[in-house]
Amino acid sequence: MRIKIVCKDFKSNFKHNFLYFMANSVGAAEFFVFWGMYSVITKVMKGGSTGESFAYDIVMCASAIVIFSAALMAYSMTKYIRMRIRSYSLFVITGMRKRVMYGMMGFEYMAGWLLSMIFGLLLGTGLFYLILRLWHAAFPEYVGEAKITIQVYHRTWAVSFAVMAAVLFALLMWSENKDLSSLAAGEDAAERRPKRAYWLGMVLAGVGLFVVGFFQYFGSEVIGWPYVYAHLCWIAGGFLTAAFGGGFLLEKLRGRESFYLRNLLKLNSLYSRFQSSLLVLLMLLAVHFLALSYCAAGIAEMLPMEDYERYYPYDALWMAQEKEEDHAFGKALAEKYNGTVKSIPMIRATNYFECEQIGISASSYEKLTGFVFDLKGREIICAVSEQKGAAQKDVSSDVYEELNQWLVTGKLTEEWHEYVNDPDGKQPQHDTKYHYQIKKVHTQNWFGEYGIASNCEDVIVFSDEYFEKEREALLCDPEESTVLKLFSFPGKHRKKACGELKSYVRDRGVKDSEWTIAKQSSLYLTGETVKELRKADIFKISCKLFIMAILFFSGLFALMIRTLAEIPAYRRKYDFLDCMGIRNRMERQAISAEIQSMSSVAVLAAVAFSVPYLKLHIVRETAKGTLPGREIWFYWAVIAAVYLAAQFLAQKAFVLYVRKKVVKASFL
Amino acid sequence: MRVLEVRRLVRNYRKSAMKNSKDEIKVLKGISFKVDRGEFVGIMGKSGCGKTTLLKVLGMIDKQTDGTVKFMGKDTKGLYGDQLADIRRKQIGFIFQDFYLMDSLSVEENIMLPMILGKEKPNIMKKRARNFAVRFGIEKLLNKNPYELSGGEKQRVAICRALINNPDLILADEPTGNLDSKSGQTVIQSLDRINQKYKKTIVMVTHDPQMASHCTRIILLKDGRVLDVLKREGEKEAFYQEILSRMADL
Repeated sequence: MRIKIVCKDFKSNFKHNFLYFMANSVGAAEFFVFWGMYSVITKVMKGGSTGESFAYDIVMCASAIVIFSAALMAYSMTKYIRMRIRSYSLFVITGMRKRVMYGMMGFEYMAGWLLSMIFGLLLGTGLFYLILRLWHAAFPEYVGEAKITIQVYHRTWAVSFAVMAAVLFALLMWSENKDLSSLAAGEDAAERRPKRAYWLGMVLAGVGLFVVGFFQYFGSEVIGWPYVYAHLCWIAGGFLTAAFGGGFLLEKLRGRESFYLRNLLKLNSLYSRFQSSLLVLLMLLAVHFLALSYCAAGIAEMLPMEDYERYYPYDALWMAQEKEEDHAFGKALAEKYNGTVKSIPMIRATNYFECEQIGISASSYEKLTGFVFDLKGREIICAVSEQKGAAQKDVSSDVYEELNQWLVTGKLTEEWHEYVNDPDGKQPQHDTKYHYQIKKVHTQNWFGEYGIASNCEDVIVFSDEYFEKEREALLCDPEESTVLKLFSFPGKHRKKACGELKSYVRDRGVKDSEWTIAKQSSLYLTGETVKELRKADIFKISCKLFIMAILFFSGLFALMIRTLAEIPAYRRKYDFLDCMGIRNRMERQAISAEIQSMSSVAVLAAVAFSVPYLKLHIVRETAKGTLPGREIWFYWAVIAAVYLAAQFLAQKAFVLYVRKKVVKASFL
Repeated sequence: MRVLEVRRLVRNYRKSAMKNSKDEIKVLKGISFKVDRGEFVGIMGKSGCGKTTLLKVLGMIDKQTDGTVKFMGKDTKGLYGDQLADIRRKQIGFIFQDFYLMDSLSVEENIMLPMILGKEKPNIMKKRARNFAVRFGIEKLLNKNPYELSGGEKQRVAICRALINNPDLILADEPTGNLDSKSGQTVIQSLDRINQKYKKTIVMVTHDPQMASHCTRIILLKDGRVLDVLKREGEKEAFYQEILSRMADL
């Protein structure tokens, strides 16, 4: 009979119970999908740096989604158990033993958690394979397929179990300190708020986290954990600043009587539901910040998707051999199609990371660019290929020093591949014959950026005497490129001319190394390169748009869950305010404000933090030699405006729905 | 002047939630009465006789199925939306059994609530709220929140709120129902004072004959109809005895 009563009570609250369990399932599913993506990313990623960008996006999104989904699970289970404590307290008042109550409630809670977890995992598995399948279908050259491992299931279980247990433990402790009547009465009337000035210490802690994030951000390469931690620090810092700074601000607003009383009903939920809104604030801030900072900045720097051709002064770049046959062919091809050909002595230089670079002498570089470098011995200049930005801009990032100070002249061979990958072997860092002194790192675009893989096909400028010595040794190797030929053709002949060149190189040119990580070649055709660049940019933009969409809907879902759970309370409140004589317009505004206030705080905070983020992003990319143009601010503003407008419209539609549920549809 | 005029008031509710259902529960079955300015009218009856429904219709929170309700000479049938809101805010004060105070607001803000909804000036609101708080002995509680108050204090806050806009009519639904006898006495004496000193018209629903004896007139309801109307001619004690004897007929 006892169980029957409990079940009846559970059934009568089924709509609410279902809501909370759905939230738990969605939290688990999101966590599963993104952790799953992260776990398989090295297997599915293809196509060099373009595929890598997909990996970066997944890592970044996974980090925010972990926060979001853990907070969502905690929020939903907290709300659920507090609601059920109310019902069970009534049973205790009427005579149920506390021990029995804890047992029954614990069982119900665990059973609900288990079922929602299983559903979440099934949902997550389905979504994972669907998303991966769609990506692979749309971009097979960048995204492969993979199976999810058992570790992802374990991890999702572990996180969900930890959240569930923590919530249960915390709430049982909380309920032990409460008397039965207040448990049965329901919501805490007094949700404490930070009122005193000492809470500003938390704001200072938030600022401290911003500073930590700053140093992490500038001390890392893109896919490194410090880069991810930087974003997590900023989310945490933003949360502390917004939550405690906002709480303090609310208290100050009370002093501004006229403003406060005029907006009392609109601000009421911020005052009365401060604590219970903190988790929601954290969730919304995490998703909005990441969408408006990492995703929006990443998209903005790739816009506009313009005519890349203007950054490529030549139609073809061929790494030929110093032999009569190749010279004769080049000359004949240019003459046949009224084009031009420029020949520059070169050698290949392969770095420790198995990227092949183009090596030329200092005097050749002087002829091409006018820049004079007095290089001696093993001194080199790294001229990083930069597509869009200006040439000869200093690169302060030490990424390129790290990449190119250990080199071997010549193409990537099996021998070098095994040498750099041998875990027990001697590393080039210990062998001075591979070490070069980098005198300067700057950008170059005198022929454009070829090879979609980043950090390849950069120019290494050697001292004249060193260059001549190394080239002399490579001249007799039929597998080594020793002349760089740069072709230009008039538009009408371009396709045909490039086609002929391609055929010649395929049949008689230097064979490409099979060991490079990203596809490198001795022949680059600007037309094909530009096409691939556009495709790569579309892929990168679509990755980020996809992530933004996930974040957008996650934020909306959190808001909806919170609001739908509060509808009975809204109904009571607005029935009462109807009695007090609230006008329709004020009622509409108050309901809108109640629903949207926390989201508005999160969005405002996210925008405020994203602006300096964009500035830091520009500084960082400039230091690496990637020079986002001035338009990045404009495009970021457009993307942010679209995102915010979409949020606004979606929330407005939801508010209309909730108002219909709350306000009496009668003569009133 | 007549504050309320009710003629053949009928209120039915649909039994089923389904829109096309014709099954109805008849709660009020043709009630007629009048309330003049300055009267203190009590409505009594057993549980389920329609007292609260009647009060809701009088307060324009609910609409009648048939019949006429005139408030200050105006038929309420033609009033909608903001017109009703304005009347409820400016001309009617509500006092509920469960107090209905907003725990998230301070006592002062709760008292000022009707004026806040009317977008009055803060200095006027505060002055009036303070005046009423002093009158009802709760000036020291203004900065507290309702959950910190006793039942009697809460009801006094609710009374201040009901009076703040100087309404023409006060509707009280079992105002002492959730209070101990001492607090209940305090509240009913406050209502007495409001009626006699400030000449406010009060309509009070109650099932307590002791509280009802403070009224100048009692409308007895039975099964949705007016069974009888009792008028207080002499002392409260005698009126109380009369009410007790008539309650057996309910």
